[in-house]
Amino acid sequence: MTETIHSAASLWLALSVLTIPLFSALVCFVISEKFAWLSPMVSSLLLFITFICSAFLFFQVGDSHALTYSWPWFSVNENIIRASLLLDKHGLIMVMVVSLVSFLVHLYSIGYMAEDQALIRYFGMLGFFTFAMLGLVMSSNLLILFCFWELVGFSSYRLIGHWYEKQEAAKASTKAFLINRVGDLGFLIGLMILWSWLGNLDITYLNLETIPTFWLTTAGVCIFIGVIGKSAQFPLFHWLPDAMEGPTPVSALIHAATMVAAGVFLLIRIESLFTENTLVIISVTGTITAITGAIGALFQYDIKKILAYSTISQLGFMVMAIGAGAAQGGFLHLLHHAFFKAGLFLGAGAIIHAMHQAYHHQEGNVDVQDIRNLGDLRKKIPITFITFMICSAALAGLPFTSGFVSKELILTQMNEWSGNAFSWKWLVILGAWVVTLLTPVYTFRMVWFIFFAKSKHNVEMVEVPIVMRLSMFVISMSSLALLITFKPFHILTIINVLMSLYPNTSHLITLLSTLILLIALVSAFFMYKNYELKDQNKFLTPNLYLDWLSDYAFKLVLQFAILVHWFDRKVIDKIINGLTYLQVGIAHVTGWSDRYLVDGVVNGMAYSAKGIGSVTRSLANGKIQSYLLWAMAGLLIFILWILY
Amino acid sequence: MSDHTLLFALGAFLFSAGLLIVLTKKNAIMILLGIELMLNASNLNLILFNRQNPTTYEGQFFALFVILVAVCEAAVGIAIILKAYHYFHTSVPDQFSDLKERN
Amino acid sequence: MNPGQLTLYLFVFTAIISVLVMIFTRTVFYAALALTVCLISMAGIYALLYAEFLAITQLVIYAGGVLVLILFGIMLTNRISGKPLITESHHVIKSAIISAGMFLILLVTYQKTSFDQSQSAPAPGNHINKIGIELMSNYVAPFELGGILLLVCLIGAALMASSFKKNDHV
Repeated sequence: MTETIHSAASLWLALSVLTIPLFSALVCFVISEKFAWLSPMVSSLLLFITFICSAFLFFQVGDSHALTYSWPWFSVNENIIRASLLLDKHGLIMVMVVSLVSFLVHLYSIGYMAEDQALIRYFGMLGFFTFAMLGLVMSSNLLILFCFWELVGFSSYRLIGHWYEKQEAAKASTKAFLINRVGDLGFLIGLMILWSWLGNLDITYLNLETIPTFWLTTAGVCIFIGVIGKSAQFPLFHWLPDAMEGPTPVSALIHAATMVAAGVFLLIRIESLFTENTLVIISVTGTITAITGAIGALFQYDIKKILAYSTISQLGFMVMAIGAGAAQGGFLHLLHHAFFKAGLFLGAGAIIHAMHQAYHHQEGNVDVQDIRNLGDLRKKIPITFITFMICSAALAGLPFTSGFVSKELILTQMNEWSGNAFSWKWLVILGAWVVTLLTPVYTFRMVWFIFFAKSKHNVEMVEVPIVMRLSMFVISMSSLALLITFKPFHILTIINVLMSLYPNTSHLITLLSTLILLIALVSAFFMYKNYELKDQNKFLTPNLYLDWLSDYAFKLVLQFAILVHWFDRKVIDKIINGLTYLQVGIAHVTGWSDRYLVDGVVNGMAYSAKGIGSVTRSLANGKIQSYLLWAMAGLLIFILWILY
Repeated sequence: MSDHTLLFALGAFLFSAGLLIVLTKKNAIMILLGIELMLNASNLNLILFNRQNPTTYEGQFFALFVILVAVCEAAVGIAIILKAYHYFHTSVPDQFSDLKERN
Repeated sequence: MNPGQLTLYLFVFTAIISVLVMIFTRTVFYAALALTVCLISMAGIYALLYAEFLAITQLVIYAGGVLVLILFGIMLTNRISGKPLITESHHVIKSAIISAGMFLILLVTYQKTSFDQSQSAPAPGNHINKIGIELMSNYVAPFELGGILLLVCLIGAALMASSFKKNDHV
């Protein structure tokens, strides 16, 4: 379905979409410290232009064939590597979502980061982050995609560590970067396997018939390891909760549109590459991640960490869906998740900002991110409350929200995939249902303790600035299903394209999931209604069991070391003592020969070195004429050599 | 032995003598004199080469420009020697040792 | 042996003698005077080789200009002690070997080169006139460049030798 069309207009649009964020980053880095206050406005404006361009691009390309543009970049052994752009339906929707979310985050950051000292660095890296993600989405060559993949990792490292004076932030950013490296290594190995078999890394021209199945599976699994690192799948997910040390808008961007979405998007891009076995690994990993993430979110107290675990769970859900043959649903969920998770993070940021302002005048140190210190906020900050509620509803999958639609689609497609006979596939489906049950519960818990429960502290609060409210409003509106699927809008191309992604869902599944939702909400209500949050449970540390696991592994190693020590004492030492006497004998002989033979040679060499040294040293005596003398001697020898 | 061979030998002798002076004499002015001598030897050669093709004057012009550059070199060289003499109170290059490592 | 050839041998002889004086004398002043003698005899050789313009230039610039400059230099660097400026020699043997080697190489090279002897007859006519025309037509660019180089060198030398700052090292 790929067709190379040299339509200049869409090429220029695509290039401008790609370069305007980069330009924004450049502007922010060259702007002088005196005009730092300008950089938020300028970069927000530029991102808005990017969004407009991407929307135009989308309408221009629309429903038609995918467009590719490619230029020869360099060649290795007659294999030409081409720098290429691929503009297809999935990519363009993603471009639009990325630029819109990024623009809103920029807008929000104007308010949120108003008092920050390093505005230039912040907005510059934000623009660069967007550029890297857009490049990743639009590039068609896997090698270039990998470059942008690395750039995304790098800029997220810079942004998570934005407040690097805080030690936790510096550690978290390093952790995120290093764990991503592990995954990227897998990705790179996968690319090497593909290259060695195909000599070509362009997604649209991959000729998969020539690869043996074993190597194709290996390559797919290796690339999936890259996705595990970037999209925070089991077992490489514990960098994501730590990454909450960064500024909240950055978290919104990382979780919604840029960083973690990159992995899922890559899975959709190279879906044709995955064999049966790879898909099994993908779906099982996704299921494990989804369930662990959901359980983790149930026991966290920090708002941002709850959201982080919910992101892990949702990403697992998407990966599971892609592995289980529901790639369309997974992609749709990725888009919806981008909006509602960004909305949730912006809302959480607004709560933190407002609470921070409120506690600013009070004494004592209260952790404003801890839901045990929050409560009863719905009347104090009503607009934040409303937007947060809409996004939470979408996360929980309530009807009439976007989350509901994509969840239905995934469940339906997975149902078709599993077939009627009982197999391991039923376990995956069971996992999916467990996640749909757990998600409303932890969402309810979070919302209840933030907005409804009785508050321990009573403070005066004011709403956040208008720019922040505006972006929160826009983003929460886009989480409503009405805006996306309501029929009267279908004259617009965007709706048309999106509509084509929605096949009919089965009524039985809709009923079932609504029922489960109701059960979950009711049970959660009764569970948490009179529930007091205790101190942190010892067994559910912030990183789930991973830190504990590494402790356990450490103890195991220690025990092994003690065993080895005993063996060393009793057995090896005896042997060594025996050997020692032999050694002493030999040592006397070697000592004699050393003293008289080796030392003689060494001394002779030392004396000769000294002699040569003093001769050569006398040449470099700092006198012009002796230099000239030797230069002339050299010249003479040179002339003789040339002539004869 | 024709005249030309004699003159070539004279040029070679002058050049070698200039080289000897440059290498052996300690005084900077003597070095300068030696360089002048070497330049003159080359001039003699150039003029002799010109005699192989008397209708053009390439060799003579070359010699002329060599004289010109030699003049420049002498002027700058003397200036440097005077300045160094001001500074070090000697015109023997071996005793210009401000930058040398002490040992 | 015609008178021209006799004069040539005379000039060659003086040149060699004066160079030997330069090599063996220890007084810098004598060496400078010997160089003057050598250069004047060279000018004579030039004139005998039909390069009259160069001979005059040699006399005017070297014997007149450069040697005076060098004598100034000798006197200026000698003004404190008042004694004649004596120079020592070093690396005598090594330098002698290298110079002799150079001399031999040059001689052998001349010997091996075959010069075209047919055209060595003197060209008739006024050489100086032709040189003047050539200098102002074909060789005008190097001529002007040479002039600029001279100017720059003289200004630079004057600047370097004079001491504007009174609190310099004296």
